[in-house]
Amino acid sequence: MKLREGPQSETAASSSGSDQRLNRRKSSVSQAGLYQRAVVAAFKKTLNPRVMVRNPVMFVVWVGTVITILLAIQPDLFGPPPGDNVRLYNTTLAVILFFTVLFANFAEAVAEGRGKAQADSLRSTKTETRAHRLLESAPAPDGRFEDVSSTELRRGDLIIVRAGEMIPVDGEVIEGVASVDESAITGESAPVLKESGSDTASTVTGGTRVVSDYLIIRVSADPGQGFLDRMIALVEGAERQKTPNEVALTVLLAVLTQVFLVVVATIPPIAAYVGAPVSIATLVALLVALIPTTIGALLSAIGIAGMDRVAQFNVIATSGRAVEACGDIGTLLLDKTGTITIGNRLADEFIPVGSHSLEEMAQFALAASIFDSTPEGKSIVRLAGQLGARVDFDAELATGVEFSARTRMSGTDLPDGRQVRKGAVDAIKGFVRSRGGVTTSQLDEAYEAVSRQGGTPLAVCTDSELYGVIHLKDIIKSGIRERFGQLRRMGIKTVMITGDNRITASVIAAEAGVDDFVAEATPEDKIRVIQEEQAQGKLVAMTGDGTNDAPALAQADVGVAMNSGTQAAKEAANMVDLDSDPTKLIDVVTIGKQLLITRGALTTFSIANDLAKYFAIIPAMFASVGIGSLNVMGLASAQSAVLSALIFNALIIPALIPLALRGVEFRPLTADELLQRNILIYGLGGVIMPFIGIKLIDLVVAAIGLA
Amino acid sequence: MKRKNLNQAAPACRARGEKQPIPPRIGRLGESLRTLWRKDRLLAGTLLIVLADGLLAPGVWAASGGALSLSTSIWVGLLALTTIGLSVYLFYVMFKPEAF
Repeated sequence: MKLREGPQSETAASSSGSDQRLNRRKSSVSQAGLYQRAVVAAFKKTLNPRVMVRNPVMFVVWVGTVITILLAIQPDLFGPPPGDNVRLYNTTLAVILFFTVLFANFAEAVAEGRGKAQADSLRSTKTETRAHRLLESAPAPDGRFEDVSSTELRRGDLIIVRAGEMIPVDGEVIEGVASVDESAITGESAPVLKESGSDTASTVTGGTRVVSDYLIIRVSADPGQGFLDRMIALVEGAERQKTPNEVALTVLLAVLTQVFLVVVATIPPIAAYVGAPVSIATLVALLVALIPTTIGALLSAIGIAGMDRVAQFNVIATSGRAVEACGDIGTLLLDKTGTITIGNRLADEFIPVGSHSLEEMAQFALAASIFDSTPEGKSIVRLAGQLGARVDFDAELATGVEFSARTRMSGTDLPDGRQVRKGAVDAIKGFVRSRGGVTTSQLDEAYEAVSRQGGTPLAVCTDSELYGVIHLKDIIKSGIRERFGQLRRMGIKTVMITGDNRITASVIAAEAGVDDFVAEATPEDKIRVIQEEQAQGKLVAMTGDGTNDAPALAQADVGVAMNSGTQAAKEAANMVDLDSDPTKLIDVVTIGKQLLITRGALTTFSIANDLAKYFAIIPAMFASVGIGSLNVMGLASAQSAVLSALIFNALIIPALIPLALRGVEFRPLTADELLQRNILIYGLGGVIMPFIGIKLIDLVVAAIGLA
Repeated sequence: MKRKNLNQAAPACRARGEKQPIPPRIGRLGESLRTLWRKDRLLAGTLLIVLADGLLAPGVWAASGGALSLSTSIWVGLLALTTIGLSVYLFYVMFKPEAF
């Protein structure tokens, strides 16, 4: 460990270069070798009973496969078997059953492989780097530091990272302002500004790179506990647990399998009684054909693929439960700014009140906004400049007053002692009254005029003197009304949360087409609305980025934190949007719905399939005892019927893998419409398709003389 | 080494209201099975099925009236145990689905 003193120009953070920066944007994850790896993984799973026992339906098929393999080796193992070519028949059955299990494991391995590919790309971002750990407790850019490995850093350590160096671990900026390239995490190529003191811009993630200036960072996570580590564990599925719906479906599948196991186990005495003995291999085949193998094989893959689809959207979910909850969401809480309207509101007009001129109004609006670095503040400065306003005081001696949710105003304390403020009209009225001033009806008229246009009115005052109202114009995002219409059709209620006054909020709510709105909202109001909706039995989703959003994010059933947000928000939420785009909440809900629809559709298809297989096998098996007329498909023989049904049963699994991974196409329909559509396509289709498929396979089996 | 006669000890234990001691050989077997169950449930389960089949197969052979050979009876007994085992397993899945 060597000690250094003072600033160093060299890049000590020995990251392995810019080639390590991987663009994780959308579907850019490398898929090379995915299928080869999946085939190997599928074979390993198939040969391991400890893995197989975790999937009840496929474990029954696995046991059946073992029994038919034994029967292929020794056909009279359980007594003299009926029929001809028994060894060939048993061998063919054993091969088909083996491939049925293999295909099921392949589906799961492909889904897991896609998650692992994402984890690999993240892991390559997370390399062990050298870090400059400051030796003094008081941070200073020219302070003494030691070079240590990033794995030696602990929570609370102070490090300095300079331009060109990689940030080794997660942390909080406590000094400095720098541009940070976060493309390795978010895929966004434009660097973002990081600085201390800001609620959202002060957190940095390990694996990102400082591109200008320097940052002094307080480490916020011990090795292995960082954001990237958690993301890797999640996309790899290491922490994946069965969701409530998956658990319920597992019980249903186990019950169905149990019922058919009992049915098949009671056939031999009946068959012997009617004089049509059935071989053990045929009974195994019948059992496999009757139990819901299709959904049993694809259930796990559907869940993993759902997580993967969310991850491809650059959203990391903490669990499958969160993704699934998205599908059941009843209420969406949406921030107005950034979600419904374009983030930056711009000053459009100054409306002076009382005896004040437009120039005076512009002058004080400029004074109130000179320290305001928000886009709104900058637009006020710009508009005031266009109207000829100039700063007529020494800005060095003035003090900026930041906006807060409590005071709902910001401004400047001028060197001569005057206090210039701009903010919510009610707040400014209170400020003026507290200093002995009076409010005028003109102010209320201007406030209403701006609000009725859907704009945000900001009042401007100096101590007890009111100057007028700034009109901040909101622009509603294009297409948002249609999306809310779709959500309404799906039975999802949308609630807009805004700090704006009631009139402005109602105008924007009407224009955007949201179902409800909460005006002049505080962070506590968010929790109240969530609790009210939850009390009605609805699941609630919301987005947030600030520390004050953390309680509401934790309270919501689905909380999506912005990656640019604070550590508290990210930890409280059950999803993190790497692109920090609040509009994505709507897309995530859509993915959750798609996951549930896909699982429901394939379950319907699987159970409907079994009906057709029952009609294929039973009449052919007992044709000799007078139920041959039920052989509606006209299958060649009992053996041919069993083989055809099993081959169809095996082939349908890989045929449905793309649908399971991609998800059923989502349509914004009501629950009733969706049910009707699914029953028609996957229910009726699930009945008809096997009849056609089994008949075609039977023709081939008979033609090649397999049975 | 002098061994205690357990058959003689049993009535004395009953008279004193104490638990009857387990014969050492059975006790050792039980302990070995418990250890095996803790170490490898699959292997222990397979062993138990084989032991159970040892009891079941003669019954199958007797029920068939000699139509089945002894080896076939063993395999049929094993098949019956496998079916019962699968049924028990599926009941376990139904009542503890989160374990799967």
